[in-house]
Amino acid sequence: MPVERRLLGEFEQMIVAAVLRLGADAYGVTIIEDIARHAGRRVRSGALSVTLDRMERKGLLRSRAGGSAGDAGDPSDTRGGRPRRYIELTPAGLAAARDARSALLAMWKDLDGVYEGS
Amino acid sequence: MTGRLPRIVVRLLESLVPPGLARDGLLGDLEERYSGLGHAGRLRRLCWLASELAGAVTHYGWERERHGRGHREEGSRFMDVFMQDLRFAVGDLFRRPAFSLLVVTTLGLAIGANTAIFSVVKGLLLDPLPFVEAERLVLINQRNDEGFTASVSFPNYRDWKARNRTFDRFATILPGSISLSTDSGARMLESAWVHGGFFEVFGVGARMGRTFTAAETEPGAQALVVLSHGLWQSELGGDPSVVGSDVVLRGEAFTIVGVMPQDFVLHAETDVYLPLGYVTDRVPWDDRGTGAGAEVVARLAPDATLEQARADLAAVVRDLRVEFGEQASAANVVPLREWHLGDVERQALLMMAAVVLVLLVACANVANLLFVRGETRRVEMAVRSALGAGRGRVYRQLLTESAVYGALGGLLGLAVGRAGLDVLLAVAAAMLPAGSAFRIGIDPGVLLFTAAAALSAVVLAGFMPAWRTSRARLADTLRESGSADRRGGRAREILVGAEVALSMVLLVSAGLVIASLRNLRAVDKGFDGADVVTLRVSTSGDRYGSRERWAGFHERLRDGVRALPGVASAATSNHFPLSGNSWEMLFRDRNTPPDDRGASVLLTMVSPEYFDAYSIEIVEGRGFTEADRWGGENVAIVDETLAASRWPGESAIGRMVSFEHLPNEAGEYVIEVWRRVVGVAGHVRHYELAQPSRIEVYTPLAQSAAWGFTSYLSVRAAHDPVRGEADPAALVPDIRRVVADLDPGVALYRIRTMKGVIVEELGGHRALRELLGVFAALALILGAVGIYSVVSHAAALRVREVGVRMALGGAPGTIVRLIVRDSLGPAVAGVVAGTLGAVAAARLLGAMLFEVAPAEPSVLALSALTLLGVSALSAWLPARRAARIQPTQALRGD
Repeated sequence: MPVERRLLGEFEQMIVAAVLRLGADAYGVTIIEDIARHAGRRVRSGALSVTLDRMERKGLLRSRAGGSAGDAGDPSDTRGGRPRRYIELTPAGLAAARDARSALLAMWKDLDGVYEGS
Repeated sequence: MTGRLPRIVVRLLESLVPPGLARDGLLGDLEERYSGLGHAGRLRRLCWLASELAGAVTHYGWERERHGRGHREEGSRFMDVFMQDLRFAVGDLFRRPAFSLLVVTTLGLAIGANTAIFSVVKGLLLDPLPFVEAERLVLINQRNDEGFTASVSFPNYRDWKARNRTFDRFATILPGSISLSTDSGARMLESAWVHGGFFEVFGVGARMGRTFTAAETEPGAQALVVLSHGLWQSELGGDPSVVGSDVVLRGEAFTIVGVMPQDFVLHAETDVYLPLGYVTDRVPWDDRGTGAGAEVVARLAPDATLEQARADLAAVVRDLRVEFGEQASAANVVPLREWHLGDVERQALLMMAAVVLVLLVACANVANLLFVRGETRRVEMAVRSALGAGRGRVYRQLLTESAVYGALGGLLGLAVGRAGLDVLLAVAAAMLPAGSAFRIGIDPGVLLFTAAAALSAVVLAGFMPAWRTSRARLADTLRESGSADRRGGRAREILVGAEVALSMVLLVSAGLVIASLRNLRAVDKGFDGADVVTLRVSTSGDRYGSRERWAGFHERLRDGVRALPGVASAATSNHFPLSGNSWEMLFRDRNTPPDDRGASVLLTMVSPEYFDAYSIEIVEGRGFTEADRWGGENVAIVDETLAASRWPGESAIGRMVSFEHLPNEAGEYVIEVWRRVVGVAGHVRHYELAQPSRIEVYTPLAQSAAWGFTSYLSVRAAHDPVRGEADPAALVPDIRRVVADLDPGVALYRIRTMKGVIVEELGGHRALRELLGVFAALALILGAVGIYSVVSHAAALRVREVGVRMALGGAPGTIVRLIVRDSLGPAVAGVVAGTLGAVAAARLLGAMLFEVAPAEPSVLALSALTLLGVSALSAWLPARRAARIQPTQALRGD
């Protein structure tokens, strides 16, 4: 799949970072919690889901079903019997993340004194 | 507790998100997070859900917009498209806030007016009265041979009741007032003396205790009373143990047998129901010629129609005529609702028609705005079509936009209607039946109506513009861009014409009502009450149980009041002009043949200063003096209408006339009282300003056959020597003191200045004028907006033409005139059509017009000029703007 070499958006970067941090446990709810915890930003499931779709279409990530807490009748089930959509980055996604990170760090380099002082 | 997502939320998301892992993942995530909120409050969870839902709808909606819908399954496609349209429409709403505000406000005002008026119409005309099978209830009064209606005489009532074959129940009610003795003094109550199974007629039982049986209302009845719910609450604090206890009415103890339910209201707030049989010796129980103010209420038998009942009673009356002659008057049977409403039904329907017109104007207006909007969006729509959106698809989207406007307009209309109803009920209080059984308010039926009005508005206003705009083809649109589209222009011209026509109808109607009111104000009433205050004087009780004592009290009362500073004259009488009371008598002239059927006259019993107090002219002969008393020569004054009709070309003075009867030893009212006419008075409008009264006769109060009734005191204030004006209301405390000195047990009530009485009399007309005025102004504003939007748009489309003309040397003034002239075409057509409509509508106004022709030229001309002026101004402003552009700019700019 041809991958567009372009930088990730801010939200996409947050998702990528969360997925990397969460590893095998990365799915909707944990990603949202991770972004909330680290970036202090409230993310709605719909927004996340749409963005995941888009990134998946771009070949930046893959999703797989699994790990539901149980069947619909199971009292421990909190998902109405629906599977989790586990997310993992593709090599292209990882590359895009790396690009985005280095681009941003390069941009901010040597500017610490400027914005901290103001 | 782990709450599950509401099903509807799941459904909605399922229709929005393509099936697959993404959907499952999303729904699962939401479910999981939602259940994680288990500890949070219900409200917080709801807010969270709404926010999440909005997020999902927005994001997936935009996603759909961007990527088409190739992967949609057929089942959820409609919902999908609808949500997309809805989102787009809402977004559009905010992208053009001024336009949206204009459309929503226009619809909101019109729908609000409709909601408010419909609430009234529904309450008055559509909702059932709170009685069992209320449609079978009728009210019956007498109609004399001149066609006037009057109250029923008791012998006629009894014979109708005994001989009819079409009524299940038949009873009579004699409304009046009665004093209630309380710890804090006397208070006047509205009373109703009833006879013959009165409560059974309505099929309403007591809320507490019982009502009277028919037998308990026969002559010789016990002193029993049934209380209204209102009195029970206000005077007795809703005490549940009142049944069996006594209340003191007119100085006598009456035993409470029951309390009526709250919604039992027949006459304006009757406080107490009493058995007529208790007072049959004090009312003309056996006098067939006197209607003592009684009305008959009856219930049709289940198989009888109103027509059958009328025919049945007519037959009964024919038989009675043979036995008793002309005193056996005809029965006038009126359905209860109609009697309650009277002229109000017509006015309410008229108002409804007016607000429907306003709604139509608003729809035409919004249609216009959408048309114009559509023109500017034709390129957008054409592009969408060219990119594969079907025409139906575009059409649906445009209709959805209209629906959003309609929904918002409906919501605003509901708010406007709610507020408007309060204002309406205050303004129109004089128009509505007072204290009656009608309930007016916003209820589910009204909500349904509002929704229907909003839907109609959407269809009316959105249909055409959407159809036109959706037909846009890219090639055509691009080709014709910059030049006015003729066909669309024609449709808009028709809309403008329609708006002007509808506005014209409303303006003319309002103008006619205003002209009527002006005429009514200027009418020669035959009296001048500007400086008069009137008070009702209740002298019930044994203390005034003889003619001498009763007449003596009134004389002392007049003397005492006359002696007060600031009093010009003081009179007592049985009623006064516009008092709403009347005594009807059968008039005979000694010189006419015995088979003369007589004429119904209004009997006014007055003290000598009455004519002075009301400035009623004595055109011939003399007025009354203190010498005209009981035992002296019986005299009378007739009014000029009677004199002219009875004795045309001759003097009325010295004629012998009769209209009263005195009882013989057996108590039968058979002794005719003959009076000599000593004077002729000017004609007075006694019943209503809009109509000349029946002929009127006057007798001296001191020598009238009747006495003991509740009288009126009329006091004319003298003009203040310093300020030059009179203040009759300021006399009331002094008058009260005079009465209290004479007898503290005499109650003064219903104290009104004549100015107030006349304002009240004009009230119905004024309310009508104000309402029609408001609606006409609304239509005018909406119409102006509509005309302006169309004309300015047309002018904008003609910019290139203007540029060419100016480049060729056309003067700006000429060009402005050209545009104004072109745009006046539809307005002129509208005015012509509207004039025809207005003349037809004026016929509906009918009885509400007073001395105004339906096609009153001044009103028509003024309305037409107003509308044409508004149209011309609406055209002139944008035209002037167009003419100011530089030709090069005009030619360049597409």
